[in-house]
Amino acid sequence: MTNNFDKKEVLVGENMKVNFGPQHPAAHGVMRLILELDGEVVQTADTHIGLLHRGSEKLIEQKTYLQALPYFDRFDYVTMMANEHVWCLSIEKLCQMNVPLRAQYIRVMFCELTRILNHLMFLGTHALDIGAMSVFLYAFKSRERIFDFYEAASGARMHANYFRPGGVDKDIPDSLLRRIDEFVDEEMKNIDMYEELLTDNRIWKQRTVDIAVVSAGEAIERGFSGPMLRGSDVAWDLRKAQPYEVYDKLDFRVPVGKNGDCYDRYLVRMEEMRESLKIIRQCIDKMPEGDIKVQNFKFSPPKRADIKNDMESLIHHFKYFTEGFSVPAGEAYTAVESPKGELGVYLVADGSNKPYRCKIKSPGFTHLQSMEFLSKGHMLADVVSIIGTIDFVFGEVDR
Amino acid sequence: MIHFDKHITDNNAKMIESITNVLQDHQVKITNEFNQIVLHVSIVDIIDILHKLKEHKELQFMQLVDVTAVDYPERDKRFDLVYMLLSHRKNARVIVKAQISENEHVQSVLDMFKSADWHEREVYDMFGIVFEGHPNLKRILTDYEFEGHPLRKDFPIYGKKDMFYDEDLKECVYKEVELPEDTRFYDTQSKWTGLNNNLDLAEEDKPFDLDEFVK
Repeated sequence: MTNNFDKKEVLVGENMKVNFGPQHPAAHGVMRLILELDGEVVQTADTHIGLLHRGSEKLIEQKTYLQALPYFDRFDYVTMMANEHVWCLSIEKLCQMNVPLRAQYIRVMFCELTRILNHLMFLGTHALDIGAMSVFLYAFKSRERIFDFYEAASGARMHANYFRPGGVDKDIPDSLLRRIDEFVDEEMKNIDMYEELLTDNRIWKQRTVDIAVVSAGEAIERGFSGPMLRGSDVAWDLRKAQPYEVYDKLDFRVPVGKNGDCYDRYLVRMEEMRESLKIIRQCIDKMPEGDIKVQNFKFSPPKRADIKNDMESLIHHFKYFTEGFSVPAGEAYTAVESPKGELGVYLVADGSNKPYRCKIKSPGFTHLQSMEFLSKGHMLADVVSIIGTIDFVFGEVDR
Repeated sequence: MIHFDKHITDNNAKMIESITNVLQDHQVKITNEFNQIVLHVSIVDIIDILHKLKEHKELQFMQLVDVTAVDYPERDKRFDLVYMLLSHRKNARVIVKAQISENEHVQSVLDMFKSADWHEREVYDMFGIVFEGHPNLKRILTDYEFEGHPLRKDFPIYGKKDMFYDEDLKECVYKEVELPEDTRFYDTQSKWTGLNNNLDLAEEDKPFDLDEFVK
């Protein structure tokens, strides 16, 4: 057999370029990732985003403060109410509004339900990408129940549009609280079940342990927040460090990881779900009776019954829904601990009824830019694990 | 394990004092509205100031949370460039602001804060502010062939170009936006303003002006 090819040419080939996405099911949306591979090892990763850019920040400048609220549901479409929350908080900061206590508890309760909603989505899709199909099905069953609570409170299953500057839209009945209470009990058991499926699973560990290790210093320098930061042994949680709403009255712990790899970040998120369930239980127990929005009718609509009888209420109602309310001139950066990390709004108001500038600091955008740092030196198959562990959603990355 | 100051810096007084000490040599105006520290600085020494805020032991603003800009087209220096910093160890936030004109460039902070990469690209994309020394200053959120900077106030809300699929050419083509009528902007603002405005409506006794009404 004649063998006249140059051996060198075969062994030392050129790096191969692989186009990952924009329509890849494991890309969690529309992300174009250009990977340069040496064999199967990733050398460079060039991330192209913006395929879902809708110019929301520009649109919000043209809308009144109230009309801008539904846009926030659509930023991170997995953590709808957490997004509404930060928008309401930033307006309340500029107007220096005091929100009634019942509204604060309702908001915190729904924010924590949203955290579970998000982490179940993370868990299901992350496991599905790696190859564990059944977790996805179980996780989405639980998600459906939380969507039912969304529907019961707001009328919409996903894009709830439920929070309002100064409170929440509608009051919730006690029956809903009882249903959520039952859910907390059952979900505690369910989370144990998910952990049984994955935590000690040999394949799961092989795919996540020691993948994308981030040191604590590196995580801070790269702007990480949320579980991405806590997975690297940094006990930083805005709910504890810079408490907003009633988080300082609630008892919960902040789980941290040790090694800063995909497996630790998964464990952190699992433990966070348990803590969220505890918070929900405390909110149900402590929830007081009372108003659910500020009783200043320049900032919230009057009761329906009053509109029929009272001229002033009718005017207030009309003005609230046509002109909206004016926010005094000023600027504020407000941040909350969204399930994915630090979600912030930098709001510049000029005293009119429309925001002058609204910048959304989304955690996914900051995390995703470290894609190359995280995936360098790993195999092509690990890129999928890394995308899963960052846990981004393109609604918030591209805005 | 990294340990943090247990005391939540609700009163920013201590923080402002140490910042004032560290930034003695610079022209800095510090405000403390809504319980947040804002430093108004000049664009010339913004890099120095960011460096000191990061490196000084008393401050340790290690994380650059966000970079953004605000457009004020009527001003001489039309943009406000805004850096948001977070010190995990001191549990404090600070916003650093500087005014910059359309033609001025600013040094990139990428070698100081690794998180600045995409944030600076976004500001370049949306406002057209050029960051010198950024290795990959390309558009990030808009389309590959996009023209203009959409978050400037003089960029129209409906955009400048539309994309269509051309059946004959079998590819996407761009056309100038054609609107059958101008976009209507409704001025919904009235004298009826919020709490902080104490306009006494009765005092403003204006006679009816027909010209203004017709306009």
